[in-house]
Amino acid sequence: MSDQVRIHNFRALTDAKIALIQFAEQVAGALASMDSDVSRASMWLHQERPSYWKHEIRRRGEDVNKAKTEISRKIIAAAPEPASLVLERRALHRCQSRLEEAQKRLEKVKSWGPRWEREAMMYKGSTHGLSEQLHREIPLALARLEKMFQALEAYAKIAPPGASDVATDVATEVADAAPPGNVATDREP
Amino acid sequence: MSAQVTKANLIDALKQLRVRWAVIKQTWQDDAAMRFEREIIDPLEPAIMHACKGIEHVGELMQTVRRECGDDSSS
Repeated sequence: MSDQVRIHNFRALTDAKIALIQFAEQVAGALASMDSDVSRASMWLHQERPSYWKHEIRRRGEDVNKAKTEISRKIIAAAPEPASLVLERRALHRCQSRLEEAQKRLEKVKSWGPRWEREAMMYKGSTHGLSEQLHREIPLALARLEKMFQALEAYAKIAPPGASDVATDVATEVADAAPPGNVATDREP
Repeated sequence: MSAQVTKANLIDALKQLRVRWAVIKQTWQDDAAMRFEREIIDPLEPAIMHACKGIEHVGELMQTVRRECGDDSSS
Protein backbone atom coordinates (compact mmCIF):
# COMPACT_ATOMS: atom_id res chain seq x y z
CA MET A 1 0.00 0.00 0.00
CA SER A 2 2.67 2.46 1.03
CA ASP A 3 4.84 1.51 -1.93
CA GLN A 4 1.98 2.55 -4.20
CA VAL A 5 2.15 6.08 -2.83
CA ARG A 6 5.81 6.30 -3.66
CA ILE A 7 5.24 4.96 -7.15
CA HIS A 8 2.51 7.56 -7.65
CA ASN A 9 4.94 10.27 -6.65
CA PHE A 10 7.51 9.04 -9.13
CA ARG A 11 4.89 9.10 -11.81
CA ALA A 12 3.59 12.52 -10.75
CA LEU A 13 7.07 14.00 -11.02
CA THR A 14 7.56 12.48 -14.47
CA ASP A 15 4.12 13.63 -15.60
CA ALA A 16 4.79 17.15 -14.32
CA LYS A 17 8.04 17.20 -16.24
CA ILE A 18 6.40 16.03 -19.46
CA ALA A 19 3.53 18.48 -19.05
CA LEU A 20 5.92 21.38 -18.57
CA ILE A 21 8.09 20.35 -21.52
CA GLN A 22 5.09 20.05 -23.82
CA PHE A 23 3.68 23.35 -22.59
CA ALA A 24 7.03 25.05 -23.22
CA GLU A 25 7.29 23.54 -26.71
CA GLN A 26 3.80 24.63 -27.71
CA VAL A 27 4.26 28.14 -26.32
CA ALA A 28 7.73 28.52 -27.85
CA GLY A 29 6.39 27.45 -31.24
CA ALA A 30 3.49 29.91 -31.08
CA LEU A 31 5.73 32.79 -29.96
CA ALA A 32 8.36 32.04 -32.61
CA SER A 33 5.70 32.08 -35.28
CA MET A 34 4.29 35.40 -34.07
CA ASP A 35 7.79 36.91 -33.77
CA SER A 36 8.42 35.85 -37.33
CA ASP A 37 5.16 37.49 -38.51
CA VAL A 38 6.09 40.73 -36.77
CA SER A 39 9.60 40.66 -38.30
CA ARG A 40 8.17 39.95 -41.75
CA ALA A 41 5.77 42.86 -41.37
CA SER A 42 8.74 45.11 -40.49
CA MET A 43 10.66 44.00 -43.56
CA TRP A 44 7.59 44.45 -45.74
CA LEU A 45 6.97 47.94 -44.41
CA HIS A 46 10.59 49.13 -44.46
CA GLN A 47 11.90 47.47 -47.61
CA GLU A 48 9.28 46.00 -49.91
CA ARG A 49 6.53 48.62 -49.65
CA PRO A 50 8.57 51.82 -50.22
CA SER A 51 10.17 50.46 -53.39
CA TYR A 52 6.84 49.05 -54.58
CA TRP A 53 4.98 52.34 -54.21
CA LYS A 54 7.84 54.41 -55.64
CA HIS A 55 7.80 52.16 -58.66
CA GLU A 56 4.00 52.46 -58.88
CA ILE A 57 4.20 56.27 -58.67
CA ARG A 58 6.65 56.31 -61.59
CA ARG A 59 4.53 53.90 -63.61
CA ARG A 60 1.25 55.66 -62.87
CA GLY A 61 2.87 59.04 -63.58
CA GLU A 62 3.80 57.72 -67.00
CA ASP A 63 0.19 56.61 -67.50
CA VAL A 64 -0.98 60.15 -66.69
CA ASN A 65 1.44 61.57 -69.25
CA LYS A 66 0.28 59.08 -71.85
CA ALA A 67 -3.36 60.00 -71.20
CA LYS A 68 -2.53 63.70 -71.55
CA THR A 69 -0.62 63.03 -74.76
CA GLU A 70 -3.59 61.11 -76.12
CA ILE A 71 -5.87 64.10 -75.46
CA SER A 72 -3.43 66.46 -77.20
CA ARG A 73 -3.08 64.07 -80.14
CA LYS A 74 -6.87 63.86 -80.51
CA ILE A 75 -7.26 67.66 -80.36
CA ILE A 76 -4.63 68.10 -83.08
CA ALA A 77 -6.11 65.31 -85.21
CA ALA A 78 -9.61 66.80 -85.04
CA ALA A 79 -8.51 70.43 -85.61
CA PRO A 80 -10.01 72.76 -86.60
CA GLU A 81 -13.12 70.85 -85.44
CA PRO A 82 -13.55 70.35 -81.68
CA ALA A 83 -12.62 66.81 -80.66
CA SER A 84 -14.79 64.54 -78.58
CA LEU A 85 -12.66 63.88 -75.52
CA VAL A 86 -15.11 62.26 -73.11
CA LEU A 87 -13.42 58.88 -73.03
CA GLU A 88 -9.91 60.34 -72.99
CA ARG A 89 -10.70 62.73 -70.13
CA ARG A 90 -12.26 59.85 -68.20
CA ALA A 91 -9.11 57.79 -68.78
CA LEU A 92 -6.94 60.73 -67.66
CA HIS A 93 -9.02 61.16 -64.53
CA ARG A 94 -8.69 57.45 -63.74
CA CYS A 95 -4.90 57.59 -64.22
CA GLN A 96 -4.64 60.67 -62.00
CA SER A 97 -6.71 58.99 -59.27
CA ARG A 98 -4.48 55.94 -59.38
CA LEU A 99 -1.37 58.15 -59.17
CA GLU A 100 -2.81 60.04 -56.19
CA GLU A 101 -3.68 56.76 -54.49
CA ALA A 102 -0.10 55.52 -54.91
CA GLN A 103 1.24 58.80 -53.51
CA LYS A 104 -1.08 58.54 -50.51
CA ARG A 105 -0.02 54.95 -49.89
CA LEU A 106 3.66 55.84 -50.01
CA GLU A 107 2.96 58.53 -47.40
CA LYS A 108 1.14 55.95 -45.30
CA VAL A 109 4.11 53.58 -45.58
CA LYS A 110 6.45 56.35 -44.44
CA SER A 111 4.24 57.31 -41.52
CA TRP A 112 3.75 53.69 -40.43
CA GLY A 113 7.49 52.92 -40.38
CA PRO A 114 8.46 54.46 -37.02
CA ARG A 115 5.08 53.70 -35.48
CA TRP A 116 5.38 50.04 -36.42
CA GLU A 117 8.82 49.84 -34.80
CA ARG A 118 7.39 51.24 -31.57
CA GLU A 119 4.49 48.78 -31.70
CA ALA A 120 6.84 45.87 -32.45
CA MET A 121 8.88 46.84 -29.38
CA MET A 122 5.71 46.95 -27.29
CA TYR A 123 4.76 43.53 -28.60
CA LYS A 124 8.16 42.18 -27.56
CA GLY A 125 7.62 43.74 -24.16
CA SER A 126 4.25 42.02 -23.80
CA THR A 127 5.77 38.60 -24.48
CA HIS A 128 8.93 39.19 -22.45
CA GLY A 129 7.46 37.77 -19.24
CA LEU A 130 6.37 34.62 -21.01
CA SER A 131 9.76 34.27 -22.71
CA GLU A 132 11.39 34.57 -19.31
CA GLN A 133 9.18 31.77 -18.05
CA LEU A 134 10.14 29.64 -21.03
CA HIS A 135 13.87 30.26 -21.01
CA ARG A 136 14.58 30.64 -17.30
CA GLU A 137 11.81 29.55 -14.96
CA ILE A 138 10.71 26.39 -16.72
CA PRO A 139 14.25 25.01 -17.15
CA LEU A 140 14.83 25.70 -13.44
CA ALA A 141 11.53 24.00 -12.62
CA LEU A 142 12.54 20.99 -14.70
CA ALA A 143 15.86 20.81 -12.87
CA ARG A 144 13.97 21.00 -9.59
CA LEU A 145 11.70 18.13 -10.61
CA GLU A 146 14.71 16.13 -11.69
CA LYS A 147 16.33 16.62 -8.29
CA MET A 148 13.17 15.50 -6.53
CA PHE A 149 13.03 12.51 -8.82
CA GLN A 150 16.65 11.60 -8.14
CA ALA A 151 16.14 11.99 -4.39
CA LEU A 152 13.12 9.71 -4.48
CA GLU A 153 14.98 7.24 -6.65
CA ALA A 154 17.95 7.19 -4.31
CA TYR A 155 15.66 6.74 -1.36
CA ALA A 156 13.70 3.96 -3.07
CA LYS A 157 16.95 1.98 -3.40
CA ILE A 158 17.73 2.11 0.30
CA ALA A 159 14.33 2.42 1.94
CA PRO A 160 12.83 -0.55 3.72
CA PRO A 161 9.42 -1.67 2.49
CA GLY A 162 6.59 0.52 3.84
CA ALA A 163 8.60 3.73 4.10
CA SER A 164 6.73 5.69 1.44
CA ASP A 165 5.74 8.63 3.65
CA VAL A 166 9.38 9.36 4.21
CA ALA A 167 9.90 9.15 0.47
CA THR A 168 7.43 11.95 -0.01
CA ASP A 169 9.28 13.96 2.61
CA VAL A 170 12.51 13.43 0.73
CA ALA A 171 11.04 15.10 -2.31
CA THR A 172 9.77 17.97 -0.21
CA GLU A 173 13.15 18.45 1.38
CA VAL A 174 14.83 18.60 -2.00
CA ALA A 175 12.44 21.33 -3.05
CA ASP A 176 13.12 23.22 0.18
CA ALA A 177 16.88 22.85 -0.01
CA ALA A 178 17.16 24.50 -3.38
CA PRO A 179 20.63 25.72 -4.38
CA PRO A 180 21.43 29.44 -4.79
CA GLY A 181 19.80 30.83 -7.91
CA ASN A 182 17.04 28.26 -7.81
CA VAL A 183 13.50 29.51 -8.22
CA ALA A 184 12.53 28.27 -4.79
CA THR A 185 15.32 30.19 -3.06
CA ASP A 186 14.89 33.33 -5.14
CA ARG A 187 11.23 33.64 -4.36
CA GLU A 188 11.34 32.97 -0.68
CA PRO A 189 9.92 35.95 1.22
CA MET B 1 0.22 31.97 -38.53
CA SER B 2 -2.24 34.70 -37.63
CA ALA B 3 -2.36 36.47 -34.29
CA GLN B 4 -5.67 34.75 -33.56
CA VAL B 5 -4.15 31.31 -34.11
CA THR B 6 -1.11 32.18 -31.97
CA LYS B 7 -3.37 33.40 -29.19
CA ALA B 8 -5.53 30.28 -29.42
CA ASN B 9 -2.40 28.09 -29.25
CA LEU B 10 -1.13 29.85 -26.14
CA ILE B 11 -4.46 29.55 -24.36
CA ASP B 12 -4.75 25.93 -25.42
CA ALA B 13 -1.26 25.21 -24.04
CA LEU B 14 -2.24 26.77 -20.73
CA LYS B 15 -5.53 24.84 -20.56
CA GLN B 16 -3.78 21.58 -21.30
CA LEU B 17 -1.19 22.26 -18.61
CA ARG B 18 -3.93 23.11 -16.08
CA VAL B 19 -5.82 19.91 -16.87
CA ARG B 20 -2.68 17.79 -16.59
CA TRP B 21 -1.64 19.51 -13.40
CA ALA B 22 -5.06 18.81 -11.88
CA VAL B 23 -4.51 15.10 -12.61
CA ILE B 24 -0.96 15.21 -11.23
CA LYS B 25 -2.20 16.86 -8.04
CA GLN B 26 -4.39 13.86 -7.32
CA THR B 27 -1.28 11.80 -6.63
CA TRP B 28 1.18 14.50 -5.59
CA GLN B 29 -0.26 16.38 -2.65
CA ASP B 30 2.61 17.38 -0.38
CA ASP B 31 4.08 20.80 0.39
CA ALA B 32 6.46 20.50 -2.53
CA ALA B 33 3.52 20.12 -4.91
CA MET B 34 1.74 23.16 -3.47
CA ARG B 35 4.92 25.17 -3.67
CA PHE B 36 5.56 24.00 -7.20
CA GLU B 37 2.09 25.09 -8.21
CA ARG B 38 2.44 28.47 -6.53
CA GLU B 39 5.89 29.22 -7.92
CA ILE B 40 5.82 27.57 -11.34
CA ILE B 41 2.33 26.79 -12.57
CA ASP B 42 0.37 29.80 -11.31
CA PRO B 43 2.65 32.56 -12.73
CA LEU B 44 2.24 31.11 -16.22
CA GLU B 45 -1.35 32.26 -16.53
CA PRO B 46 -0.75 36.03 -16.13
CA ALA B 47 2.28 35.74 -18.42
CA ILE B 48 0.16 34.03 -21.09
CA MET B 49 -2.68 36.54 -20.72
CA HIS B 50 -0.32 39.51 -20.97
CA ALA B 51 1.29 38.02 -24.07
CA CYS B 52 -2.15 37.39 -25.59
CA LYS B 53 -3.10 41.05 -25.17
CA GLY B 54 0.10 42.13 -26.92
CA ILE B 55 -0.42 39.58 -29.70
CA GLU B 56 -4.01 40.66 -30.23
CA HIS B 57 -3.00 44.32 -30.42
CA VAL B 58 -0.12 43.78 -32.84
CA GLY B 59 -2.33 41.46 -34.92
CA GLU B 60 -4.96 44.18 -35.33
CA LEU B 61 -2.27 46.69 -36.29
CA MET B 62 -0.83 44.25 -38.79
CA GLN B 63 -4.19 44.07 -40.54
CA THR B 64 -4.48 47.87 -40.60
CA VAL B 65 -0.97 48.24 -42.01
CA ARG B 66 -1.68 45.67 -44.72
CA ARG B 67 -4.92 47.43 -45.62
CA GLU B 68 -3.39 50.90 -45.71
CA CYS B 69 -0.05 50.09 -47.28
CA GLY B 70 -0.95 47.08 -49.43
CA ASP B 71 -1.73 46.98 -53.11
CA ASP B 72 -4.80 49.13 -53.87
CA SER B 73 -6.02 46.75 -56.58
CA SER B 74 -6.57 44.09 -53.92
CA SER B 75 -8.27 46.43 -51.44
